[in-house]
Amino acid sequence: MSESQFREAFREEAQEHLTDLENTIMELEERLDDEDLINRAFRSMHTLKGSSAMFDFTDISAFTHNIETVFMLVRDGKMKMTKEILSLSMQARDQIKYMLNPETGSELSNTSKREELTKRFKAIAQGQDKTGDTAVKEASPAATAPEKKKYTYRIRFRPHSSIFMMGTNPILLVKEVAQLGRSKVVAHTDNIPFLDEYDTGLCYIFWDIILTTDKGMDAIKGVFVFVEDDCELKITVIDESDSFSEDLDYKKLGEILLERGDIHQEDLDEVLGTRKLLGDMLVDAGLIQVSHIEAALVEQEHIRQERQGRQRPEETISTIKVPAEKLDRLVNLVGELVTVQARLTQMAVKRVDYEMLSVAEEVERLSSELRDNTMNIRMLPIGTIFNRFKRVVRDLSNELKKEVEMTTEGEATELDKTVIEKLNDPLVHLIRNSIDHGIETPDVRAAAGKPRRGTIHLSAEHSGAHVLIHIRDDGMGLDKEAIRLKGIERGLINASAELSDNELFSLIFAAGFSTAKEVTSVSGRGVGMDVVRRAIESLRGSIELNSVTGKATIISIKLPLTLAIIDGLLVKVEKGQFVLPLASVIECVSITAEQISRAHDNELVIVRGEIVPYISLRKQFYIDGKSPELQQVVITEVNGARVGFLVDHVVGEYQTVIKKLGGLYKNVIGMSGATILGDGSVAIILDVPRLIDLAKQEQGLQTNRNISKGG
Amino acid sequence: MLNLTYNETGEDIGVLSLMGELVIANADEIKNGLLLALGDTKQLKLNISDVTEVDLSCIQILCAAHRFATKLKGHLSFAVEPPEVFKDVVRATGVARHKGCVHDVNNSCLWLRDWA
Repeated sequence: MSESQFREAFREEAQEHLTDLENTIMELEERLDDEDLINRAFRSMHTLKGSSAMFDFTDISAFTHNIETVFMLVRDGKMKMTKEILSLSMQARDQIKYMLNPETGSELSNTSKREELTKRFKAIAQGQDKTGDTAVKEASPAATAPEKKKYTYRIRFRPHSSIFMMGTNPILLVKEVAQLGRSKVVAHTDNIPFLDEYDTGLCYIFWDIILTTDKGMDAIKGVFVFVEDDCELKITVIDESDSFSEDLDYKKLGEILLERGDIHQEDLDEVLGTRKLLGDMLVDAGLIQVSHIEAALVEQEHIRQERQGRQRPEETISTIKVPAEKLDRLVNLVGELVTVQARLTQMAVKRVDYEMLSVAEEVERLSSELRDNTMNIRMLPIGTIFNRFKRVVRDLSNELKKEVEMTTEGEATELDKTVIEKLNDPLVHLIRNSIDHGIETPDVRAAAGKPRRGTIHLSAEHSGAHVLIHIRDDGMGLDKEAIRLKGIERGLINASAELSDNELFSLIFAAGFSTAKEVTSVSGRGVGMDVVRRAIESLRGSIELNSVTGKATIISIKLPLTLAIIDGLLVKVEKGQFVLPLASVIECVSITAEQISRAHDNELVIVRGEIVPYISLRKQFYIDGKSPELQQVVITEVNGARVGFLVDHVVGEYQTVIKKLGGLYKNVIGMSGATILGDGSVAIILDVPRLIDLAKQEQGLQTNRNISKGG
Repeated sequence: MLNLTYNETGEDIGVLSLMGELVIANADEIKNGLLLALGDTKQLKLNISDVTEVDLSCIQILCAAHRFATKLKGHLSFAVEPPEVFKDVVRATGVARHKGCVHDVNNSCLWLRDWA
């Protein structure tokens, strides 16, 4: 891996930590004292700081250091978690995000903001904790050190009883050693006499310290260098990180005590003859002091935890991270394979070669399985974006002084990664709308007999080859009369038109439609809902609105599981081949040249008494040639309206891998992609909703419903 | 600076309040105060909520006092939860344990604490 790849990998990992941190902060805002959450936030900061230093993002490392210090003080119980700390942490988290990707966040990234945040965090840390500096030291070595070999030492430090007279404070030495790594300190207090015999100038305590660190023996000895003549110091290596010991249980208590010289073998053998816990037996027999047993048990537990920690990475290796581009490439290759396989089958059929046909069938089975598996790899739980919305709700409700809670359901519902990525912006827009227009202020809600806190419920569920997403808020609902009046004002409907709720609500998706009386920074500008609709339609999905005035608004979005493959209906006009998404196809009807001329080229067809307008693909794509006597109209339904497509022939159903059109076709409306057919030829995949929009604009095409109402 | 005050509560329980610096410079004063109080009552409670500094000698003296109280068939305990400054030193010293020493017959060791 090159350096830039390492840095990219770090960016990805840091992004995950930032997402986790964001969620944790929001959860902490609800439960300020939750130790697990505080620990989780601290770990995220700690890892961010350490790995950013390793990958030369020194500005991030330095910036994160101060936040981490505050979280460490909170974690260690030296400071209380407050809303202020959390609010600052959220701002700091955003700054780290911009620092990670300076090119995307240049407007928001702000050095003076970071300096101000750093000052605030420092003030919080210093104001509350005088030992802040030493506490910070504790976290530093592990944070920045790359993975090195670690040793576990047993250190017995027995200062001479006169050490106080030398002006030495042994606790400082013990602390300094303990801070070299993960440690356990056990003081032996057995020599402390009764108070009436106590000499206030003497040190009676000695220590056993179990320390796991990547530092060498010299670093430990270095701590004691000024007292080496005033103490007994014994340092023993008792475990190493690259030892392949599978035994989590480490040594038995008796073995540790024997090794330390705390007990003799013969005494041990004698006591083992009785049947109690060894520690109790030894103490009862007066062979050993309790503190020695305590120290040995601490050592046992420390080593057990160390070894368990070393085993963990091996257990989790079953999950690997793969860059998204590699997956896209894989999907493309599978697409090619499916195409070649189709050609193979076609060739075998043409040659009437049964042996080849049998191989082709086998290849077909395998490639279809491979395609399903590959598509499955691209699936992500929708919960990954749901969590982001919690932040949107939090920030916006604070800004608008509303109380809003977001609840979610069906986070595990999986969708193609591309769909999920493209879904983010429309959903954010809808949620912002719900908070701004839907949910009332707490006082208004209370006056209406509703709970002060509004709820936005986001849910997802599978429905066949589709996923249904619902956004439901318990706000004021849509004002039908205001929508109707605005619709008339904008010339979208006749003043006398009687529309169903569904039709009325669908007006909201028209360009520039807004009933908001005031334009706010959040919404009301009338741009948005039409963009949302277009975004959803570009994902081959549909969107619908429902509302109960004063009570709720529900937005339902229906999306295909994946954008990479499509179930389509293959049709032909001359030699041109087109695929219509099967999801929007209702039926196919035949139409004769005579029926067409009888309608005076109005491009209308009567299907079981209902007038359905149609679009001629021949005219739409300027295809030369003479139409056959008998043509087909493929009837589709988009947003509740039926529109047909006039084609020469309907070939049949076709499941295919979607290929992007080149940059040259970027501005061509009505084509959402292309696919390669079995014989190697190309078929264009049609963007049905956009074609209908285009036809409406160009020809003033009306939906069947409006025509029938207008007479 | 160290301030010691001793109060009897009337039920043979005495409360010794230690305020200020529990450090080696004041070790003799602390020891004598504890000896006097333990001579006066069987149930001595320590109030150290207003200490400002603590060192190892203080931890040792309290341990010695607890043993002495047990020897006199008395009882020594904390009157109120000790302050953080005290807890920090207890943690750093590593005196916390799961079982008291051989003198701790009534399981009242000062270091059998969740926070220690």
